[in-house]
Amino acid sequence: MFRMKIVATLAVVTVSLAGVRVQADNGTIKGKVVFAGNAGDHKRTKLNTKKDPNCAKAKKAIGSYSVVINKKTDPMTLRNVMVFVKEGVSKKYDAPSDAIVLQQVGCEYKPHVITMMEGQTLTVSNGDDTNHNIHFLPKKNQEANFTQPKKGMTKDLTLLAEAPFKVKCDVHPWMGCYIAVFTHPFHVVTGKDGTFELKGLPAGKYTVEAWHETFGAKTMVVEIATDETKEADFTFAP
Amino acid sequence: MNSRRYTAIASVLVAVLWLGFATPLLAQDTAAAPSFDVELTGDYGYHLPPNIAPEGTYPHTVDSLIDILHYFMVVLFVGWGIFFVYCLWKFRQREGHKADAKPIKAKASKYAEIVVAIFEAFLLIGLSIPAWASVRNEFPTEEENPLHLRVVAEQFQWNFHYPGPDGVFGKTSPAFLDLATNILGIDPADPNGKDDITATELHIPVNRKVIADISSKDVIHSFAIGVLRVKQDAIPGMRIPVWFEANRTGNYEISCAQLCGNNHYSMRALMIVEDQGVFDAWYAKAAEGPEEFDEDELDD
Repeated sequence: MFRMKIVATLAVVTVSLAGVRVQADNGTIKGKVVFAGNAGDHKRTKLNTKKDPNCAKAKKAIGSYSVVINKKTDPMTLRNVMVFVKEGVSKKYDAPSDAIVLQQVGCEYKPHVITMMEGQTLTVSNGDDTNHNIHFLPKKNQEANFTQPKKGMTKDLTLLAEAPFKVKCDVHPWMGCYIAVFTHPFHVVTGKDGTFELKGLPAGKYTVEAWHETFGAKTMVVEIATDETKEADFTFAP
Repeated sequence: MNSRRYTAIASVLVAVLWLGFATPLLAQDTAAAPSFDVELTGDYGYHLPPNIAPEGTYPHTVDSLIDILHYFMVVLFVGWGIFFVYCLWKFRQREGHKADAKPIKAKASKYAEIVVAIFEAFLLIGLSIPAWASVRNEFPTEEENPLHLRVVAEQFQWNFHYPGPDGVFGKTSPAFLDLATNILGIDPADPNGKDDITATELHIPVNRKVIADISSKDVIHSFAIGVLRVKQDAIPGMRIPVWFEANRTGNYEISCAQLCGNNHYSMRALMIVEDQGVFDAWYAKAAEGPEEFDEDELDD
């Protein structure tokens, strides 16, 4: 009898959850991350990779990544900014089944900034003919620190939700990247056009944050109605 | 009869352990040792690495100390070896002889111990302390125009900090550290630091004395230049000066001589000894800072 009750409860929960899913959420928050400072103060430089000749062989030069400005967009925008919903998501979402890949190529992390979901697989792979050491510096997750001495090695990890934290390579000090893990799918990283789009949001009031490794975080409260698309631009003016 | 059986069992056990544990360990993926993209100068052979310090300076004292100690070691080794073989033969197990576990009480062994103690005191007071004194006493003065630089160790890299053409080091602080672009934490607002050089290769001019202040950012490392017989611990919170001079141009190895973590083996750097003119050209170029990274030109 007790078992029957459990099964019935589970069935009700499943059906109700499925019901929620069927109701499509089509709210969108989109915009761009504007850079309003002096681009000349933040020129990218070639990093010193002489310590490991295998790195120089793989790639002619690696650029500094602490500030990457898209100078060709109008206005100028910032690359590698995480834009995500910080507060306001009440629903539960499943992690996507496809893995996020963190590659080590030419002694550089690709991509440089990663946003992913709790429970999603993160595949760390070594594409270099040299030894890499992957060192996660999280506050909440367990500190990962492992080596991938050979080309083609991969390792799968899953992470708990956590604010952006740094990942570094102990063999090549210049290597660094950032990972943030969320309990929902509303997070993106700006690319060469400096824009972002958070799609599939239910109606509600959200705190949206733009996080940059050098310039820090900026937040904004955006309220959207069902199926509404709202523009919200962030501006960093260092 | 019993002891033979035990020996046989022990041998089998050792063989099983070896096959079970050591073989998989040996077959494991091991990291390729990082190599330099240039050939190292000099024949390292089976003896000491080449000594590129000028005659009469402390690295040669170190060599003669090593030589003397090795001669003594040969004497000790051969002497004890002969005595050991003699004892094996003399006190072998045989009919009509019983082992005597009582220690002997003879004058000879007491005198031998006194002689050993005196000899060890001689090694320390007669050889090692004078050798160390020569390292410190020959420290170059400012009149000799030494090149000043700082060596900053970190897991797992050697960083070299030169003051640049103005000859003054910029202020450094952990607050300005950036592992990619400012590994020494030079204050960007300090005018003295504008021309400072950060390098991962040690460039030094030939036939000029160098004073290097050794420090560390994290754990204890040891700055070792084999060809110059330099070995100094790099200790966090301390800045320890060493000096050296090379009289031969070429590419030489700098290593870390203190186990400092899981990638200790990869903590090597290149020392490039070059003519003053070549060095000056490198110094002027390096003082301009890193080149700009043009992503349109280079693959991003």
